[in-house]
Amino acid sequence: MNNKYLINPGLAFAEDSLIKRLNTYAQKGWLLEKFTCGGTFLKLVKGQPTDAIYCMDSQKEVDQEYFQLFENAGWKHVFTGYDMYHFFQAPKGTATIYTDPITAKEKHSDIQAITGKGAFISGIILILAILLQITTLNTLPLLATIGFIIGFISLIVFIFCFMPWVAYKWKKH
Amino acid sequence: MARKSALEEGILTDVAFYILASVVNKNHGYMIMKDIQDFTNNQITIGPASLYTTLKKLLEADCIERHKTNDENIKLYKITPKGHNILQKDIQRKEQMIAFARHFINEHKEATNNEQ
Repeated sequence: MNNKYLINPGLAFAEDSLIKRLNTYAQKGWLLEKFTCGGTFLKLVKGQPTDAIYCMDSQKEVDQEYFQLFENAGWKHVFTGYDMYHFFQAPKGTATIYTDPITAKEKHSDIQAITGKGAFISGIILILAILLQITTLNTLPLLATIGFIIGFISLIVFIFCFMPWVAYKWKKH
Repeated sequence: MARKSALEEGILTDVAFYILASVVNKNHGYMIMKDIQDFTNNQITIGPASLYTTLKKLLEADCIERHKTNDENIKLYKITPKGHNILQKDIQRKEQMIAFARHFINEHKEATNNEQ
């Protein structure tokens, strides 16, 4: 069995505990490779046990310089998920990637803005869909069904956006 | 955004201050990190993520600008006149703070010396 799959606990909620788990797995020889299934799982591959540590940075629109800076500081790039979750690995004892509290807090503001917008938009669509269903339930059942489907989809999107947004807001305190 | 207006008012975070000062002459990412570490005898280290996000902020606030080099991978940064202005203002502000604190500490020292 050369691969292991970890369920992604949600990087908004559980980044620290996920990193701890990844480090423990690495000590047993299970090394992080990448996301699979659109980020639902993290794939680990069998390799040499190491006490190297992982870290993750969330940053949109990065360039070659970004990865160069990390490499200069000892952090090798493992993979990037969704174009903004960057995973790195470095020898144990390497200094953290954020060395001051202000920029560390701002790390989340990008994602918070995206999930906030997503929650807002999907929330509005959800309300409109519900209204559509209520008004057409008896008169135009086809529209009501369409409303139901739209409502269901927007509800799922809403949950996926709202929960991380709340988590990041809560983290700020 | 509160962060930007603090920059505009000439108040720099420690990290922004160090980075801005290290690009008075053209400098690039890795050397900026090293310069700060060497000068402060490893007391101040700036992590790559902190460095990258602060460089981005300073660029957006027009305090520094990018210069091209022959090597595509190395980006040079240099302070702008606006950045220079803000750095000077912040140096004055910090000097005033230090003078203020020193004044009262010395006063206290004299008072305790006189009591003995």
